[in-house]
Amino acid sequence: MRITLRGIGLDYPGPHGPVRAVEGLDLEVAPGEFLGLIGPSGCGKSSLLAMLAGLRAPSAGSIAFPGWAGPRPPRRLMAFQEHGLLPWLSVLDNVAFGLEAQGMPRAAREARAHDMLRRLGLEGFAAARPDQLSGGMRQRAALARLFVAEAEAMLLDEPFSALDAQTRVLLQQELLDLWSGTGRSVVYVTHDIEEALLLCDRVVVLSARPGRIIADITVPFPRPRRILGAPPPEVAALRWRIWDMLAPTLAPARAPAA
Amino acid sequence: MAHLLALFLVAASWEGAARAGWVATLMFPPPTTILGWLLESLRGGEMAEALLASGQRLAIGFGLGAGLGTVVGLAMGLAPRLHRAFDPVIAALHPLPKVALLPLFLVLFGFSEQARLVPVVLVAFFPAAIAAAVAVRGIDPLLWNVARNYGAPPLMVLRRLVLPGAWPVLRAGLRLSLNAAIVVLISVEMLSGNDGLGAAVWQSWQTMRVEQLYGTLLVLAVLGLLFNRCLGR
Repeated sequence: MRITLRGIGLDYPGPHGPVRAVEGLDLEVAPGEFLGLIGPSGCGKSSLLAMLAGLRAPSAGSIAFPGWAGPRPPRRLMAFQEHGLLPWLSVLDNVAFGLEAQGMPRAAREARAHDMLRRLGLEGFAAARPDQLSGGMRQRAALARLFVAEAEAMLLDEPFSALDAQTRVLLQQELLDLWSGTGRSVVYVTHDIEEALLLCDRVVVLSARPGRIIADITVPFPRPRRILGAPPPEVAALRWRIWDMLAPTLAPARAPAA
Repeated sequence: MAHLLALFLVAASWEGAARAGWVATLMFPPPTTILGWLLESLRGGEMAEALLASGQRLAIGFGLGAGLGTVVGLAMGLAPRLHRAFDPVIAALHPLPKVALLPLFLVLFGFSEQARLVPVVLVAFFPAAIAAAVAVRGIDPLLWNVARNYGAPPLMVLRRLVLPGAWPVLRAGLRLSLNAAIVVLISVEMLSGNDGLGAAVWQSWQTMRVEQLYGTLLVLAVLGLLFNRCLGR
């Protein structure tokens, strides 16, 4: 599914009138593309995801899904930094949550959820509650819930940023393995330049508030990718190119204007 | 185990003090006398009758009041507009002493069962309503976003998010409702009843049957403990 954003603006109420978080943003997500959004804090990355998910209306501009002919609006489902599992539901019920919302009968949705748990090595924890899992397992369960619901587009908001470095690498690889071959579009928000380059086909760099696109970079890293191996040297070089773009936007935060 | 031992020690020293004549047995009869009376009245059917009368009133009064309160509170928690409309009303009505309104209800409903039930219903309503509203508003906004994003239909949101999310706080509110209902029920029965545990308490004062007073209070305490345990610790 293709997603087009045209002239997107977003204001939110501040103490001295509305603050412009995003301004004049044009963006296109190609079908099956894994797109990264990177930028300084407050540049509206997460708001952009909320708008793509339909959880928030843009103040200006429009979001469209050209060519979408389904009987319902396309599903755009999110994964969150703080997993967002329901603490009182079992892991199985959490993973089946999206299917239950779609009205799938219990037996069918539980069978699919079990399959997904097996793929992610969580089959022994179907009956556990989220607080009985480690942080990495909770994010795995959140990924399972996301992928089992078969959304047309998946929107991930720094899902691994609270994890330790080793767990993060494992989950990044599992995410790529789950996604590859699905043909679904992904928009992935992160602070981590390296993560964006390892995961994404294309990385869009946003400026400090109000967020605008300052670079749109295609990542020359063939798929299937092995996160654990060394990426090609041109990917490593890109890291510093993006860092040079982001560094000036970080400066004001470090030394506020007098 | 420790709490049973403590209870036994208190009872034993009371028993000893009463038998030794250190305390006035007119006001503090030995626990064995109280238990003796209690067993007798349980066997004789008077206690069963009083228990049944009060238990029924409590079930109806608490059930109606707390049930309505929960529904209104959940609705207030879900709809900010309802909250703005009803919160001042609740704040104004909650502190009114419901027992003091009993004469009004006696005039409105006559010397009837309804007149005795209304204060119980009212007093059970408020804690449940307040707790339910607070409980719903306290549910993590992230989980609301998850439910919305995944397109959960309203009934599923209620069953999977609102009720389980609100339950811990709601349960505390229901316990407060229950205890308020017991207190008001006994007061109402003391003031206007000819049956029930409250009437038994009043009667035992009138006739200076102190062991009956303590026995009835003991039954009340056990009843309260049981009902509270039903709503969790």
